[in-house]
Amino acid sequence: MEELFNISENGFRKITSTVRTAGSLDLIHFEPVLLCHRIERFMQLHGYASPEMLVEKMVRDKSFADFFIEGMRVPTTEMFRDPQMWVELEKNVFPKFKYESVVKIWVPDICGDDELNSILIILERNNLLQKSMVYATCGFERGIEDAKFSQTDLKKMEISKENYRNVFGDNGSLEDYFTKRDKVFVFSHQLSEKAIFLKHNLMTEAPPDMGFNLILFRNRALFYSMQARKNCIEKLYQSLIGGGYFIIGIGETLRGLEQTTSFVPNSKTENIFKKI
Amino acid sequence: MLYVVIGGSAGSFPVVTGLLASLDKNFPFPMFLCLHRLKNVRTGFVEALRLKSVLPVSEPYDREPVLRGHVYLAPANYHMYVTKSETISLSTEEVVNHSRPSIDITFSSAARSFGSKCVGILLSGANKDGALGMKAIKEAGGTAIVQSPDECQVRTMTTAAIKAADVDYILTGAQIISYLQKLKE
Repeated sequence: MEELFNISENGFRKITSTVRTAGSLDLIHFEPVLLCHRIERFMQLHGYASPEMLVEKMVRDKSFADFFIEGMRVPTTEMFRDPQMWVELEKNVFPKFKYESVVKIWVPDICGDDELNSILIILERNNLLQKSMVYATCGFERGIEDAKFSQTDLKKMEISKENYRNVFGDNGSLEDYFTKRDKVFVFSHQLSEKAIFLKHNLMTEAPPDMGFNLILFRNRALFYSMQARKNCIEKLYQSLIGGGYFIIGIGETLRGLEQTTSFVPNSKTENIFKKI
Repeated sequence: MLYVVIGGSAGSFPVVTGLLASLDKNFPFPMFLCLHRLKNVRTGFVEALRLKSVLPVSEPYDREPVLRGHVYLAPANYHMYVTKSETISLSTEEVVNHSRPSIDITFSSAARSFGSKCVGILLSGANKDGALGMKAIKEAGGTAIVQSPDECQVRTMTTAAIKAADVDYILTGAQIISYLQKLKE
């Protein structure tokens, strides 16, 4: 990395206004400071020396504009991130699902497969997967395909294995859910086929279903503007059943959002909320 | 108004605690600490800093407004950005210099947001994180201070910053404390 934040505000505006017309998702929904860093990272990775070069390419090639927008999204970091949250989920939330005939779960706006794989594994371990409907949605076709045919590299596997041990102790291994092929670990098809994969734009479309028992929306709203975040959370809130659970990242808050008063914390430290 | 950003890794903890212990409760500027830490250890760090500090110390939540005289510690496994609108943004983006939180990210965002009002201080550490952030602070007209490598428990980080940026001061821990105490004057 040569520099950070070296594009000018003018260059930033040129790029975002071009994407507004050339791409399929408006960057207006993104948080500007983080977006600026994403753009710069994209330019470095793909060898664009100036915003003008990038703009020119996007104007000429609409599919590139979509590729660029995909690059602005941030993949999840690892499986079973913040292990204590998964412990709480297993201990305090899953027992409530015991008497439900169907458990509907939504992992919206997936970017990478970590969160989805984690929930599928923990449901399987708790004998809940068979009666669960797990919706995995993403606004991009490629994001859906990546999650469907999930692969994990060795480095991420090592980090995730440590998290897994922190959740489940020595009771089983994360590798049990993967098949090693060359340098990658391929996620169990038996588990991933239980998920319902849908292309879905969280910003513009109605929820893919209603009556969810649980929505995992951890660290996704970090990258959205305040307005976009409010809109998303309102949509997610509406799609939950009364008594349904809503989980956000450890570093996130519902403070300042209208729904704050309609959620009660189920675990304050792990940011698990319950709709009242 | 000034904005103080401090970065450190291995060997920086005693300097940070010494610094927090030496400031009085009327210190008028916000301070942002980006210290490398274990990603799954979420408790203990901020509590240890609070024991030493008369200023309030907290791990911010995303979009938290910045307050004067408050110390913000980058949470484990998140990058911490500071913004022009005086809020803090957190991010789970890729690691930078094998680090999340990354000092380069915090420093560079502070440089971009606050320019000449930014004071960056880089302490002991074992990788090169912070060097580009220091350069960004200098280029934005801010003040770049590096702990003397001779005094650092691990000198890699400070040496890299001195090489990358034309820093304003190379100071001992005691001199950094003194510099900060005089800032409000």
